[in-house]
Amino acid sequence: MSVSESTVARRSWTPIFGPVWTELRHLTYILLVLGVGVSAIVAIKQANVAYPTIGYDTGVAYHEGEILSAFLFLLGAWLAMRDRRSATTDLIASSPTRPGAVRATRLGALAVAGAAAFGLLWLIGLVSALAHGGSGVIDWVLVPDGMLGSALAAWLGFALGLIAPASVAVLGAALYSGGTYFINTQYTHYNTHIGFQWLLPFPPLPQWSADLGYVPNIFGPHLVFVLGWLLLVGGLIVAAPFRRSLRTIASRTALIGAVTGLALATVFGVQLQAEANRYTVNGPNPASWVPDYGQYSSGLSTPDPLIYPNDHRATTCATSSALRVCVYPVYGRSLATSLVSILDPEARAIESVIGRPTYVRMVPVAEENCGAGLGQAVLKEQYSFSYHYNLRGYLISCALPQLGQRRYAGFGGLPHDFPAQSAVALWLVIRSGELTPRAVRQGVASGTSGSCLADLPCTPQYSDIFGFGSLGWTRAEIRVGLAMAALPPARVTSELRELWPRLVAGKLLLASLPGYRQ
Amino acid sequence: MNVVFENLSRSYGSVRALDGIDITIGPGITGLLGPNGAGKTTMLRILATLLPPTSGTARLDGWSTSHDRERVEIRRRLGYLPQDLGLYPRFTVFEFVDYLAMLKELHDPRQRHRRVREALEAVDLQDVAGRKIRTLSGGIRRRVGIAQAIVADPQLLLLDEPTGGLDPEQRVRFRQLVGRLGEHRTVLLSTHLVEDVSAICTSVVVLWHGRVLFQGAPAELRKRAEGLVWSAQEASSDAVASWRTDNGKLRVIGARPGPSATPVEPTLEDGYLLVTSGSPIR
Ligand SMILES: Nc1ncnc2c1ncn2[C@@H]1O[C@H](COP(=O)(O)OP(=O)(O)OP(=O)(O)O)[C@@H](O)[C@H]1O
Ligand SMILES: [Mg+2]
Repeated sequence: MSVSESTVARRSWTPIFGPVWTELRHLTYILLVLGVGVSAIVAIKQANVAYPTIGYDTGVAYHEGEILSAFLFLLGAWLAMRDRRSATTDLIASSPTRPGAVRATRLGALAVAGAAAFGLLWLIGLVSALAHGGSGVIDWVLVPDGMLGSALAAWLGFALGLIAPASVAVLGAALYSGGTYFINTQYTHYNTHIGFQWLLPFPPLPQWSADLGYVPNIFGPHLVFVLGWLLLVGGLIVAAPFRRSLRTIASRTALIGAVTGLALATVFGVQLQAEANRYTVNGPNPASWVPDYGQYSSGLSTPDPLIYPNDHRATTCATSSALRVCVYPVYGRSLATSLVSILDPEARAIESVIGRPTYVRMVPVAEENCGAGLGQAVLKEQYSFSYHYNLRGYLISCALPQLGQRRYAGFGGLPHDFPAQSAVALWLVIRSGELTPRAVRQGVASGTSGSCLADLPCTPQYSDIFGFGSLGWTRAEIRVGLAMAALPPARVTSELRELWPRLVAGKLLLASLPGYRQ
Repeated sequence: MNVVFENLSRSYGSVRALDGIDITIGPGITGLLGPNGAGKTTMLRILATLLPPTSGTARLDGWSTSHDRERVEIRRRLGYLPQDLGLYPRFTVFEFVDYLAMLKELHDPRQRHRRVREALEAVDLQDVAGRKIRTLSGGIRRRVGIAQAIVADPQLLLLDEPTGGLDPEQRVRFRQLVGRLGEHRTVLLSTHLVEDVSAICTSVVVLWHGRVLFQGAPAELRKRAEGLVWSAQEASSDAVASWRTDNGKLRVIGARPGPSATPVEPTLEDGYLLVTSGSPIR
């Protein structure tokens, strides 16, 4: 019997790498190619924004890790089913390598393949950002986090493939991917104030800021959380075939790994959950600032909204005679210039207003806000800038604070509490050139039914101005607004100056406005 | 190495596939004969540590298949060709045999690759080493199966119907190969081809309905039929078996069919048919 032992070293320190390498070469590569391809196409399509940044494009690639996960899940399931489907179970089982060790090499190959696939997807995001002319810093944390999430999908697929037939595995991949997508979108849009969404392998990205990075930064605990899951799933997969012999060192190690993983996932899952939306504030007086987050979902508006403190990092500016707009340098001067051109007509329309904002700066996380009479307004930093529409009326709403609050009050707000402010706002909109009197009259004439009749104008662009959807102007407000617009502007301005304190306090009646008696 | 079965039984539900097997098989080549469903595959799978016995034990030297650690020791010395051989269709021949060699703890790549090449040469597959398995014919796949069984130089070689699907030339080659391997090892091969057994086996076990009907040298099995094989014009109704041969006469196994019948030298097959017919022995 010594023939074999003498000629071939049966034990060496490389027993794992050979099988892992063989497995790697024989994975179902079509699944990997499809996974990276489909997710990259979706990512590149979404990454096509006006002011690209590296942070945004790589972030989008990370987000599409969910699509990649579906394919990785199948990849894992296919590998787990291979022995069964090719009737090689007996050959493998009669070899001296323990089933747990065989599984471990396969998990290793899946982890490497999953990580590489994600790395490639991320690189595509980076290249796409650079190709679009994006700049800024790279958030490296997305790389290990995405790699762990990808490996987890493949391992979960492997676990399912061990016990279920192909049809169930396909269903599992669809449920896994669809389920995480569902939770992801649900919790991003409606319930961001709870932390459940951070428990996903690819969580919806928290708000990203060129200045602050991710806010809240969940990625520390999230990395450990996913790692915990990997240990748990991997440990169970490796330990499962040892059921009858839990005395072996390998199976004990695997079980200890699983228990450690469970502990890590639990502890850090709880921490993530608590993380909710804890914002970090950069600036001179962070304690004075409370995020006005969550107003949409609660339907309440903050009576005296606080402005995100000036962190003096929005240093790329553009100016007009009425306004200075400053953005984070990453976005470039062209964004500042374009914002000035959007906001300047309104800034000039409200030139005579006391306390009107003349300085608009970019902030990382808060909503648009200008407070009362602070002379400045903030612009929320956004990934994909589509400021043009949703900034219409912004400065006018700063001049008329109660009216502005409707922007925040949403459907729960009362539309007609301040008819005088509404009418003045319409006059200011007409002065800024956003709307012509003719367009308003046509809107009134053509609107014969539905919510548009009472709340004209309600074309999509204009519905953004002072509220959501049907929140607009009443007929009486429109009549007074149009009448004011017909008067010489200087006269209206001088008359309004006396009325202004009562107007902004919400105590002025529609009947007291200059145009009412015409 | 010695294979010892002690009162070994295996049931599938109400089917007793093996029923109180009590034999010892020593080094050399042992042929396992028996009709379909006799329990040959069940016996080999138990020995290959793939199937636990319902009762009794199967051992290789001191190691029992029922003990976890000893099972690994058996596997370290085992080469197994299953009856329902499966291979990874997307692997090449070389990669597949190499992969199993890794699992058989041949960790050093250079020596392992040499071993794989030797195993492929032994079954005359060196020319298809780079072909994907899914492109191969059934007989060639069988030979890939034989190659993986011998690659780690096993002390115990279990071959479940190894010659099924092989062409005559490869059968001869296979006999030479197994004959060589059997000089120093324990080889157990199940087959329906009695010629294979008479060509290479040093001993025979005949299984019938889960029981051992015969164990001994092939010559002994043939001797069982001595004086019971005849060449005759017609068969009697109580003959064990009879068939017409190329000389136009009937070959009859059993009692002398008539006075005109002449005795014929028995073959191993005659012995096997006689033993499994049940009548004279049981
Ligand atoms: N998995 C199983 N479930 C139920 N019965 C089985 C199973 N495997 C085998 N059997 C039964 O056990 C008996 C022995 O089967 P086995 O495969 O060992 O026979 P064999 O001698 O190898 O036959 P063959 O020459 O046809 O290969 C048969 O009656 C068979 O039907
Ligand atoms: Mg069989």
